[in-house]
Amino acid sequence: MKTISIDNENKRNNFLIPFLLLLSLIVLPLFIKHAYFMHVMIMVFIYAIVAEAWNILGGYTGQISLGNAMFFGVGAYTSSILLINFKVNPWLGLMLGGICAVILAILVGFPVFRLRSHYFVIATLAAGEIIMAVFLNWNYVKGATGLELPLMEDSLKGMTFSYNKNGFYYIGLGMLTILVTLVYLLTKSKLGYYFKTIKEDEDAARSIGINTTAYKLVAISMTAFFTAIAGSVYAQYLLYIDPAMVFPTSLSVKFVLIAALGGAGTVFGPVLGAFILIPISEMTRVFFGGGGQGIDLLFYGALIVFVALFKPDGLITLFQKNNK
Amino acid sequence: MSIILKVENLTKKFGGLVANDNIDMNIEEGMILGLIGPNGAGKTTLFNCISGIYKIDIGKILYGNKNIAGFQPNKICKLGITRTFQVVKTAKNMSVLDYVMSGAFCRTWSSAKAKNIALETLKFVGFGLYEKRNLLSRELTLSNKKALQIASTLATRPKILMLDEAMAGLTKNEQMDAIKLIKKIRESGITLIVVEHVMEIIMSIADKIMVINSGKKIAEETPEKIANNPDVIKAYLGV
Repeated sequence: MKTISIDNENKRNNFLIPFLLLLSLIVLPLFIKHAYFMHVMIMVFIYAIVAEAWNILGGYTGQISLGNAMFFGVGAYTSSILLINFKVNPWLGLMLGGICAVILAILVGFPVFRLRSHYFVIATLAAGEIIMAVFLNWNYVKGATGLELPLMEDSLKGMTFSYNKNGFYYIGLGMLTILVTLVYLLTKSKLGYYFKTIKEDEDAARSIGINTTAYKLVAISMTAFFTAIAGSVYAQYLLYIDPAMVFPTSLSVKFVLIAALGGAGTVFGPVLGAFILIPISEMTRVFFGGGGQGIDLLFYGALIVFVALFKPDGLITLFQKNNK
Repeated sequence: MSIILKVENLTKKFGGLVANDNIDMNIEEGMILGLIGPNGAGKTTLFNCISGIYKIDIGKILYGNKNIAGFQPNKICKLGITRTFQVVKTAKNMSVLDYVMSGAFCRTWSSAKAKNIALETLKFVGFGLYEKRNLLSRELTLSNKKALQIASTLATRPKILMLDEAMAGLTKNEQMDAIKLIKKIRESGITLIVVEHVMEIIMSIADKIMVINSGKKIAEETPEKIANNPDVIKAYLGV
């Protein structure tokens, strides 16, 4: 029988590797100044944030959502509209976007959490499609035309960096570090334990005093907040958004794939997933170009099939001790 | 002894089927109440009603002075009544210690306190669970899983613990251990309601036995009297 040691004492030295990785990511832009490489890294950070956010609700709490793009889009649209129409600072817009996403999450979560397993998945899928349809037909947010964000002067305060990509690189890295730290602390807290217990069995969880609905709402709120923040940064980075970019179901699926590939329900799994999947999808897209549209997806799909077959708990298990 | 839980005219219907029909119960503090009856008599339904999983149609469940009928299971657990399930519903991918800690978090926000309560509870429950605390729950044997379920509920610090066939499927030796555990739980001051099919066991541990058949309570007496009760014999043997 295999024994997985979960004693905290054994985990102490496990901090060393993440710390060294973080350090090398901090100094990386000093050595590599290639703009495209930096773009790929920013995309990796943004997707790592959304996958880690999905991980709170899906990986830990076991509520598989295929509608998380709605939070991403709401975050992107809230900060963009506030900036365009009301000149609200993007940082404030980002926080307000997060709050809007939390409100949406509670409104969606309240009815949807009555459903379990695959019915829940279908409901989140439908909710995501509904939100996208709303934004496609809403004149105030310019419908399918999308929003063009004003180009302001470069400043950290205005979250604008048009001359080099270091600004967004460090914003992405900083946010990802904060989120990963929070998720790590979460797993050591009552909330984290309750999330995991809900994933195991809801009836048993209720019988040992866990208000499952309340804690699931907490989980979806945290997920929504961080997904929306990533959405705001994404909009501010690209300076243009439309519903097909930030709301599609394919994007929601991508969030799940990244987390599942890296290892759902682990602290570093989703980050690892983003570091593997995003470069692959970017590289294959560039390599095959417009002529080979969809070929990148072939690689993508093949990789997922292999992971599902040989490392169903995610690639992170390659780095864990005592794996099968 | 004082009455800790009082059930009055509890009725639960599923469409036309009356699963629990007008049941009255008085549970004294510190006793072990055995609940028996043929298959489909409504024992588990009664558990589900008291623990809040089902909403009852008629009746009252008085815990202290409070009518807890209609409360959610988690609230009832917070108040001090908790239960195990006949089909083991413990964790799969959580470690034994983590799962018991989840129960302990019922009364605290501190992880350190929860861990202490959990370790204490694991030692108390026995079955070698303390030594197996770092194993994943799915790696346990059936008897260990049942013990884990009891441990996680005990970690919530209940006043009343309801065990739904905690001994079904255990070997004779394991049953002996389980009996010792149940007696130990009672000695720690917890009132127990126990559903059990194994007659010798229930007769030897219960202070009082309640028999239900087709949703109706047909007897509530000491184990010695129950064995000679004509209604009970009729319900079980059909003569």
